[in-house]
Amino acid sequence: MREFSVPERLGGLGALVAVGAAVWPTVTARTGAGLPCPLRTMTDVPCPACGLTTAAVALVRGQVETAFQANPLIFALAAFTAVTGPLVALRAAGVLQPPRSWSSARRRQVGWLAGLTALVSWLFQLHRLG
Amino acid sequence: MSYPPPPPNDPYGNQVPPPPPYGGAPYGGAGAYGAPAVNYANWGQRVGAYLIDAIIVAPFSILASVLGQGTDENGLPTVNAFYWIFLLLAIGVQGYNRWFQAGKTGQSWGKKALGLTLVDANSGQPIGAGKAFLRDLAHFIDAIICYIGFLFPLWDAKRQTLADKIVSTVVTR
Repeated sequence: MREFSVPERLGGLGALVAVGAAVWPTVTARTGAGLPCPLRTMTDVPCPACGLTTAAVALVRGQVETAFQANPLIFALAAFTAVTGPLVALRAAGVLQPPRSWSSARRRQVGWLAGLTALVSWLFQLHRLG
Repeated sequence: MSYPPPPPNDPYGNQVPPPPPYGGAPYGGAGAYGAPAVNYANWGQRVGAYLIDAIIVAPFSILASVLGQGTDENGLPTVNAFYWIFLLLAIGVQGYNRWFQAGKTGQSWGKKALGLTLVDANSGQPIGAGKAFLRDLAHFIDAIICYIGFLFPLWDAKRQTLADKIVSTVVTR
């Protein structure tokens, strides 16, 4: 089996998250289990990923506004899943070429973009929960 | 005798080689001359190994909560000797598996089952029990940001968690 690209892996993660979000409310209702943010539990300061569980559960239920208010990053993950799912299928069928590695400069640019996204998300969470 | 330069659209002349496919190192899949390319374990394999390690100590944790916990006459939760015995057994088994054995050989039982090895990122050698213990402590950093640190192997070039970066380790297969 070929090595999956980073966007494909994130798309796969999104699919796993969707399945988890579909069953998570049942699990919490039956067991009382929760997944609180350790940073917020200990310090009252949210982290950039806070609200993702709520956002994922809301999105699989079609509650787009609730999902956005909890953490807009969930839409990026959903986009990865929506785009890379068909890409993986087309690549597996041989219709499209396998993905190529990015150059180190491109990787650096995407790394900075990811860092910036995390910073914006953190500011959003600080505003929402701070 | 000299040859004329190839035409601009010559398919065999002056072409930049295409970038390597994902997961393939340049120059035919090898690292530096004589050095094999490092095959990092993927996220799914790492999660699988971790789950096996967790399942191994799960019976002790279950016994601790089933046999070791109760309530007093006021309905408040209490613990008895069984709780501490099974808790210590769980810590002992976990310590032997994930710190002593994984540090000494590079493989906990979970990693061994999936053919993975934990090694130093610079030397490629097993990291020793102390560093394996510190690595598990450093997983606190992975957990504190909503457990996102545990997802880093999905996008990191060396497939490292934040704990791996802190103690300079990689998991190979």
